[in-house]
Amino acid sequence: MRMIMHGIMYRVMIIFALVFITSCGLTEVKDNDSTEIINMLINIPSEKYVINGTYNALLAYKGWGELYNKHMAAARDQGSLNDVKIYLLLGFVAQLKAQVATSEAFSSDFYDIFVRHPDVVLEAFKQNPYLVLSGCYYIGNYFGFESKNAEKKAVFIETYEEKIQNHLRVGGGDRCMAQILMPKRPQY
Amino acid sequence: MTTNYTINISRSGNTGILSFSHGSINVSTICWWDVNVKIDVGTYTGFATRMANKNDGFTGAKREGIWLGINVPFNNGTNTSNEFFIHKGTSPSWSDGCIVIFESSLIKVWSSISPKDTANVTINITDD
Repeated sequence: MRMIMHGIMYRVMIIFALVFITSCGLTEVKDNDSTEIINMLINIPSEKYVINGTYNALLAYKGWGELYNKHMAAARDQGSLNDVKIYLLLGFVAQLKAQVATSEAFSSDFYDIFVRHPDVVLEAFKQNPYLVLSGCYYIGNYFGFESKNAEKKAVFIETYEEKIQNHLRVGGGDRCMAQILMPKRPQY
Repeated sequence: MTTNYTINISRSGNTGILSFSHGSINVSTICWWDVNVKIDVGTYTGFATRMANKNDGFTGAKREGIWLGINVPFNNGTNTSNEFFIHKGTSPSWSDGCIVIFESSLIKVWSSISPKDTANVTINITDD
């Protein structure tokens, strides 16, 4: 029962987060995207993937992938606070919904976004502490993922640990660093 | 008449053997997965397709994979995922839950399956 309540609480938090991001101006979650994210969270098949009366789950997976690609590119190339928030929200959803293929993409892609825009990412974490565990998990998982980049870990920690600790609220820095040092899939 | 293909995955400990046979193509190769995310023993209907957000396919297109469909249970039925694939990889470090095999083997299997994006693959996962 406690786990179910936690799950419901996380979903409510995400819906509030979507409303918050949408109300921030500049980049925002477009209506079609927010509908798809909410549908994903609560297992409602999106109508856009119903073809001739039948839900096409493979098309839905690919549509979610395109959503990921769009927001990953925006976070990487534009790197506004809202771009990064939306991308981090998708990363949180990937953990919450056990989207293992999407998680693998995050484990490859998020490090580069952090390194390009560290202050923006940390501000997004600061404003949304529930995104810290999943986001920092992806950074930690990057080192050694697909048998690559393990050698970058020590330099990353040396470069960013103080910044991470200074930006995040009490406890947030420690939680993030713990995931970077020894990534452990967050449990919700 | 649609051809149906079969992939057998026999696991023992933290590795397994993936086998596939069609026409002159015979594959029997070691496979890995993230030991913290273990797909439950069972039979699943798969699709040969391309992964949506990996751009390192054999010919530079999106990565080739065999999708296991929706609501696939893992960790003794404690959760399900819509995103399990069999895709390329050389160790468990390539996986956050997917089953990985050497790219050369994956391409042999993937290329044999036609048409793509069709529910024409039976995937049997067993534990020794």
